[in-house]
Amino acid sequence: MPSHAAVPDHNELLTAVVETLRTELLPQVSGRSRYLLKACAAALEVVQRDLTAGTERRQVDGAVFAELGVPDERALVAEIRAGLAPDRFAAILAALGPRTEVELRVLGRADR
Amino acid sequence: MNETALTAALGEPVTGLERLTGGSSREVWALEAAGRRLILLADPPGERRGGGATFEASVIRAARSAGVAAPEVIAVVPGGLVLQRLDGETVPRRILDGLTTGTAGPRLARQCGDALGRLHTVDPGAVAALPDEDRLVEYRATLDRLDPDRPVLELAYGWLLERRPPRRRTTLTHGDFRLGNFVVDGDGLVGVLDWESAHRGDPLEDLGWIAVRSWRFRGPGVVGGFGDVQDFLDGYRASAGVDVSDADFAWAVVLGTWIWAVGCLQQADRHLSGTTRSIDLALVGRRVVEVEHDLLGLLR
Repeated sequence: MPSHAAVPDHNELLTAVVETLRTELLPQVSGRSRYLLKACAAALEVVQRDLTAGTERRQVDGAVFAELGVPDERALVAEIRAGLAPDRFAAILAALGPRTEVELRVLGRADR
Repeated sequence: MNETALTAALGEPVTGLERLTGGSSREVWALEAAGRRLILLADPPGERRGGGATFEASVIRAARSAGVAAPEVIAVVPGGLVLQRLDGETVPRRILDGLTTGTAGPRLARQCGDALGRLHTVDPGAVAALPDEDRLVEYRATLDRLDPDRPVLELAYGWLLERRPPRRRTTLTHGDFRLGNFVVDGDGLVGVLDWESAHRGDPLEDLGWIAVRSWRFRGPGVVGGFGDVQDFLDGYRASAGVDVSDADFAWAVVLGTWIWAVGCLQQADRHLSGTTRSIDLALVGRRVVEVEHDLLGLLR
């Protein structure tokens, strides 16, 4: 249980906003407004997951770049653009999977 | 756009003008005139993709003359294009949910192949001001401009460049031939919509696009979520008189998927740059990750 239960944190506030949008406001609108409201709720849910993904993202990125021996993604892009031997292509292809998995979860599309 | 201006432009009393949901690149309006249900595709002010309404009208006419089902052109009006409104479903998930018999999906796949094959027999010279476009080149330039530091997109580009099949034909291409731009009823394909991206190019661009995973809308079929590749290519072969090899088709699907990934970034850029502020565009930009995930799966 949170020790400051009486003060909703950012996560609780976002949850409350999404709940309000979906359960109270969405049933009252139609057409384009309904479409936009659903998009807004979906965007807030991405934000909510994004706010808690930072640690995992840093860990996965760190492990991937260490494995590939590059400092960051900019260096990796430059290396790929310069042309890759087949082995290196396969290694990079395999290494990039976990990064994409993290971002898919943030997006709420882990089932893809 | 208002009813008075449209009445003047069409020479018929216009009623029931109403903006429809959807159309992230431009506004789509429903209207009625002289007892006919029509659609207005409005160019957003200050932003015009492709060659505008006159160009799109000439593409649609050329396609229809080759037997491709598409809405009849009613008129080019200031700031937009008025078309016949086709009866049927356009919302992808509703189309997929409506294909309840075992033969409906394969039939739609064959019809789509047939329509695309017909389109690819049109003489590109028959359409005035048809731009010549090689999407691998165009989207490479877009990626360079956006410079997003996305290794997956570079990996896929290198793969595409290395394995690109020799250009076998150059045709009129639709440029956005996929579920979402099809009108479908109980008998299958009623019409193909959204011709603004048409160009003269490699027909493989159109062939792979319909099978991009994002355009399957969670349906099981590789082609549009509703059909398999064989049915689609059978329909295509029958009308185009051309065989498409499995290797060429597979390359085309990777091309389409990469193009859509760059397209997601491009849509995000329209939002971020302030050209068109839109929650839709922002969310599409964020979804580039899904498409990168698809690319990794295709390249493995």
